Amino acid sequence: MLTYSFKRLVQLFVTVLGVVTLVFFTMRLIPGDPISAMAGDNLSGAALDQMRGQMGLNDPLPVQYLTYLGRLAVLDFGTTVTTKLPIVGLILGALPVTVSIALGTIFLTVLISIPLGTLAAYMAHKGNRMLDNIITGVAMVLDLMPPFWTSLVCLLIFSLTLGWFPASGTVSLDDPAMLLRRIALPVLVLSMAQIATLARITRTSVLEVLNEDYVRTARSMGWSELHVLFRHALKNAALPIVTVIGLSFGNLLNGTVIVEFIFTLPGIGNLLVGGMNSRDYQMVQTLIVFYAMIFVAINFTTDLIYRVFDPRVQF
Amino acid sequence: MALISIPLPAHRSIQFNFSSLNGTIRLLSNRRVQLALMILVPILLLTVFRPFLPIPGPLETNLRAMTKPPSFVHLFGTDRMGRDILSRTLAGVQISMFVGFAVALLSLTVGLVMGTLAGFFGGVIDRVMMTITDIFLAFPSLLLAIGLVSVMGTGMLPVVLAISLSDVPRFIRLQRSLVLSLRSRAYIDAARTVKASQMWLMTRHIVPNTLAPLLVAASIAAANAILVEAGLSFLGLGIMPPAPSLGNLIRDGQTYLEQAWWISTLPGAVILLIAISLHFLSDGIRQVLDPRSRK
Amino acid sequence: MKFSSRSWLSAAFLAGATLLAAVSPARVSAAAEDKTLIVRFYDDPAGFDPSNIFRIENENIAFNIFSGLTTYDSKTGQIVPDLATSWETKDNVTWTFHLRKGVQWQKGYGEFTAADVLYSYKRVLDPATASPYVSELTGIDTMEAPDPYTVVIKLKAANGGFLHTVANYHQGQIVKKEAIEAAGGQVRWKPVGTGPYYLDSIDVNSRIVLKRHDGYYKGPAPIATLDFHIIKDDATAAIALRNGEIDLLMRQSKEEQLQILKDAGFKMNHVDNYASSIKVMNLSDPILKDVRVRRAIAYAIDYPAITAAIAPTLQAPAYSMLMPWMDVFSKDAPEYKYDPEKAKKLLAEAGYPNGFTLKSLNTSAQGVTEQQQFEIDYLSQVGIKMELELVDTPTFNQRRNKGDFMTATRLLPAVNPDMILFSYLHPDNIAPKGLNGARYNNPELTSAIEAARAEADPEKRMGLYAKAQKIAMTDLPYIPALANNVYWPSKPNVTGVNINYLAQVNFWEVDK
Repeated sequence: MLTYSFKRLVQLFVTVLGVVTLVFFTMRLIPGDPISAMAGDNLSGAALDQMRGQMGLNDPLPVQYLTYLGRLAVLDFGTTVTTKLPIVGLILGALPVTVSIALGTIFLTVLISIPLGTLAAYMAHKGNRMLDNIITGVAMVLDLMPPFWTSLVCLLIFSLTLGWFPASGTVSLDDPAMLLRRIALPVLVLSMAQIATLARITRTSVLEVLNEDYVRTARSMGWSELHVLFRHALKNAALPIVTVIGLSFGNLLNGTVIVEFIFTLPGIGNLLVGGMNSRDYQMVQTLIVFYAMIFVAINFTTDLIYRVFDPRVQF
Repeated sequence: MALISIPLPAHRSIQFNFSSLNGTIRLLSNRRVQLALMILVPILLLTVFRPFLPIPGPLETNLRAMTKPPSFVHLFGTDRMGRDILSRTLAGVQISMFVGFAVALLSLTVGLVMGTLAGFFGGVIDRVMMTITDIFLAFPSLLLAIGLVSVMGTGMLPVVLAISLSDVPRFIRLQRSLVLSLRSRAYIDAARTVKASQMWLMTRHIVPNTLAPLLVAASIAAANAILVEAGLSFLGLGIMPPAPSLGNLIRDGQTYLEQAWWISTLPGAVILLIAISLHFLSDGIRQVLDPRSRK
Repeated sequence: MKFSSRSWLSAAFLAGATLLAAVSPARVSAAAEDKTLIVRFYDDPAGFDPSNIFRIENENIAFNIFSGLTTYDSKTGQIVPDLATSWETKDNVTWTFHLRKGVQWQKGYGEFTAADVLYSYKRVLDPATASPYVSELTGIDTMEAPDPYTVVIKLKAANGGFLHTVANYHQGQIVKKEAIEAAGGQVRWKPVGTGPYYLDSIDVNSRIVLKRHDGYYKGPAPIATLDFHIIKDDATAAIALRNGEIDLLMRQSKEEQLQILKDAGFKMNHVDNYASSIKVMNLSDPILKDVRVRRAIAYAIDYPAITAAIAPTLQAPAYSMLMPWMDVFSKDAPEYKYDPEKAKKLLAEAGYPNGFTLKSLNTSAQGVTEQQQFEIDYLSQVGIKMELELVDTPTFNQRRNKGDFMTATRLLPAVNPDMILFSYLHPDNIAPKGLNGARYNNPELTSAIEAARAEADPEKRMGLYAKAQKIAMTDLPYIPALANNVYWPSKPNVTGVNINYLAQVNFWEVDK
């Protein structure tokens, strides 16, 4: 196990380095740079070149790359290219918002989809496909609605008509009540897509377990249906479910971009899109490195869990 | 972007040949597949024969019929420029379906080949492949999309590539895990002991058994691609009108939700129908291919 | 996170004040003076250093923090005194400004004097500052301050538009040396000016808070706190206003949202014809170099019909690069009214009876706009096939600055007509160096605008500008498409939202 972990860690390092390199050169391959991004309608080319030189954007690429790696090695993430703000500070400020949305979404998703999926599986197992079909159908419809559309519909219904949640306003951890009210709608929108996925997987996994011998045995030993369902079936089906939750957490960080834009939440997605639009190389690179590390860590954990629980899988 | 949900593979040894007539008949006699086809076929027919239908072209503007609600003249109503939404929706279906199928096909093919190689041979090949997929998975798909669109311009190809690039690693991983678990199965071990060739093992025993979950994943990927394209359109990175994708139609209409609900809602409903039938199709395929879930 | 604790404190204070008010009626007026206006801000702020400032929304903040020697009247757009109470020049070369006495800097930096003016201009001119606005001031030969309240500026050549250069905008905004030095590398986030509001705190992701500068020379502004909330999506911003979460919506640029807000009874503060939107014709293109082709394009598109159809509120037809409210605007320049037959005839004469393909470079930020779809439609009717090249904004800006396009769009936001004519038509400013993306060079026009700039006699000057406009619209290197209007909807009780022709609001005039 130790050797395996070590090997895996080396692999992680290579992955992160690969991501760093890929993002560095992708950003510079894309036409447009921070200066051209800033230019509105009244700046001339000569004026822009003046600023470019000032920001060291005219240095040769390999020099810029090595400088960047050198700084990264000592964990110096630098400042934004155009606005000169420390990037770590910006990310730490934005992280609570995105993580709250992601955690809230997972919480709501698990709360709804696990019982739903288990119930659907149980019904299917009993030969009653009605509820199964309804659950699957509704979940599917919710899943397939574009988040930017549902976001606006939610705003119109819950914010404008019912007045339950504000459409704007400052969010901070110091004011949890406001934070909750502000992230409620994005969590709802994102959960819609997640619920379907997780309910389907729960249903499939539980259904498979219900057909296994030991469940039959448990039942024949006289345990109640509910006990069998939740103590035996769900427990044994938990592994794939947990895996999917882990993976979807990584994906959520990616998926908050649109809701953060529409609900004006200052999170990581907001930084990423802003960074991309202003071609803030430093900002985008740092965000991607953070993102890659989180992703890789989740993957690593998932792999370990798999290895512990399913000895058949060899690495 | 939307999470690609790949249902966990059913680890079963099933012998099923796709090309056989028997298989096709079984597929067609599945209720879900039938339902999916009942939705998909008419939509596709309407799309193909749109130029012959008695409706205006998708780009024809009409300043005398701006923002009209659905009526017998315009079944889906008109948009701000007086264009017929039904006509635009059908034109959009064509583009969106193409994106969906192109992404599914590309992801499936690349995933199948690379995943099988990684899973079957293991060792260095596997490690290199996994590192590459990790790098791509750890790279936000949105950034990939922006990069591709910036370099290649907005159009069909960059959108298909951008969506596929974020799907392919998932397919490779899925295929690899399928191959891994199949490889460790007893009957493969048995085949190995009788010194079956690697190629024979792969093509006869392993790959056919991975097709079911892969196809299921592919049809879901197709449905997702249509939605992801809509999301990209929202951020100004999707396929550009005047030839409208369904995503564009929803995006264009969403700010009129209060004044003219039909502009975005009706094309949205069509996306839903298509996506749902693709899911039904995937369910159907799984049921037919996996005898144990056929209940 | 510091905001919320502060806002909690102020909430506690307000609660306390309310209690007191209940006890003694005399406190009511004191509490009423602490008014807060919540304003929508539509993008991430990029800093407020006048030497390096970009984009209207940031410029609007700086406009309220800083002052210039002159400024623009909010309603007429005319130049009026600001830090300078009066000025004189005989020849448009030597300018003498008499400064206002007793003007106080924000944050206790003392009294404003002539030394601050010299420092500010020198700072922009200093290569180490790398200001993109340096070219605005390179015409200065010498600057001196004979006494603390007089500034004498001698130019290298006569410039009748110099009062625009020293206005409260970009390079014209006066900064304080000590404050700049104290801010070090963070000048853009620590602005100190002499304007009606100072920057209290900022969270670059969500909020900008301005507080009233009580020592402002015109007296304290009616509103104590301006709280700018960043709301990027236009639809969300409209909902926030309808929900009562904000008082004033900086810039609503969706026609349909404006309609809803109008119907709901909100106040539609607006300025019309703030800038014209033009199509830049690249004259080095083998097809577009023929003036008949350019005229054919102008005749082929019915912009009045387009604006009437898609954005009657936000847009209006325009027939010139200059806007009718500008003092040197001339009505005598040729106008191109919709005439498809004439367009076809011109195309045939130019040798393109079957039309050609026109590649239009555009930003993908809004996708393909309705306007572009109409343009495609109209042009196809005379045989021109317009193809859109959509690229994201940074790419678009870069290619546009390089002049790497056949045709592209540009907005001409400016209050100084002389600046527009020089930047877009003078051969010294041909892209990629300057903004003349058409690569237009007509010696006759060049000498007209050069002479106009130097001319001290207003009538002769006007004649020269009229001549320049006539030549420009005859040669048509830029086709005027539309004039843009700017809307800042607000709650009905918000008063004094006068949007000037730079699309900015002077918050000193705003009350609620």
